[in-house]
Amino acid sequence: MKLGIVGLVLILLSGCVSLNSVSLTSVPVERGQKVRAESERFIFMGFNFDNDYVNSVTTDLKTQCPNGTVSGLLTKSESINYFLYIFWKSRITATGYCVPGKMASGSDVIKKRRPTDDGTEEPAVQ
Amino acid sequence: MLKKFCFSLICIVLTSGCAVLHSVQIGEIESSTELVSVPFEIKVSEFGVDLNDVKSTGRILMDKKSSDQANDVLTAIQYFQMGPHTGAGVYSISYVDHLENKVREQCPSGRITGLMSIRETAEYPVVKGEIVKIKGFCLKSKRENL
Repeated sequence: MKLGIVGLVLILLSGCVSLNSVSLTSVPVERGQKVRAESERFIFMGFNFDNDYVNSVTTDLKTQCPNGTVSGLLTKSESINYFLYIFWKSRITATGYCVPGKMASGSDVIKKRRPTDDGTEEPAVQ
Repeated sequence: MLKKFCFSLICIVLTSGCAVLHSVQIGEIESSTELVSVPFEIKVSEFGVDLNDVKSTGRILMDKKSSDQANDVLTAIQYFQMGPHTGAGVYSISYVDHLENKVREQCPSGRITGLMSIRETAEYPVVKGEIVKIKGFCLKSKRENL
C-alpha cells in the first residue's frame, strides 16, 4: 500500500523535460569566472498571461558581473511537463563567463550610423 | 445578476490572452560603473489565425451542414499549411524585417548590450498575436543620460 502511494507521488512529481530553444554567443578566451542565472514560472492549465519572468535573467547576470562583459552565454529555454500536462514549468537558464574589464561597445569608438544604413563601412578616402 | 456575471466572465475569457513562450535568446551583457544602462523594449506582432479554433467555433455557431462545408474548406487550406511551425500561421512574416532599424532608433549611439530576443504568442480564441520582442540596454555616459 505504502509502496503504491510512493509510486503514485513519484509519478505525479516527476516531469519530462522538453527543450524549446538554445542559443550561444561567442566564447571568450578568458573563462575564469562563471556566471549563471535562472528564472522559471509554474503554469497551471496553461494560464499564463505574460512572460515577464524572463527579464530577471539579464538583470541577474548584470549584477553578477558589474564591471565587465558576460560572454559565451548559453541560453536554454525548457518546459518541464508534469503528470497529464495539467501543470508545467517553464524555465530559462543562462550560463556564461564574466570577463572583467572587457568593454567592446562601451569604451571603443562606435561609428554613428543613420537608421537607414545597412551597416557596411564606407571605403577609406584616398 | 447571474446573466451579468456570465456575460462578464465571457468578456474576460475572450479578451484575456494566454502568453506562450517559444524561444528566448540573450546576447552578451556589458556593464560598467562609468556608463548608465538605459533599458528599452521593442515589440512587433502579426495577426495569426488558428484554423482548428475556427473549425471548433464553426461547429458551435453554425448548423451541421454549413459547419461540415466550412470544415472541408478549412481542411483544404490546412493541407497547404502543414509542416513544422511556431505559433499560428500569419499572412506575412515581413513584420520582423525592420527590427534592426527599430533597435538603432531606440539607441542611436549603437552602444547596445544585453539584447534579449523573445518569440511568443498571445493566444485569444481563434485569433493569435504572433509577437517578437526585443529587450536590451542602451549604454549612455552619465552626461548623456542627464
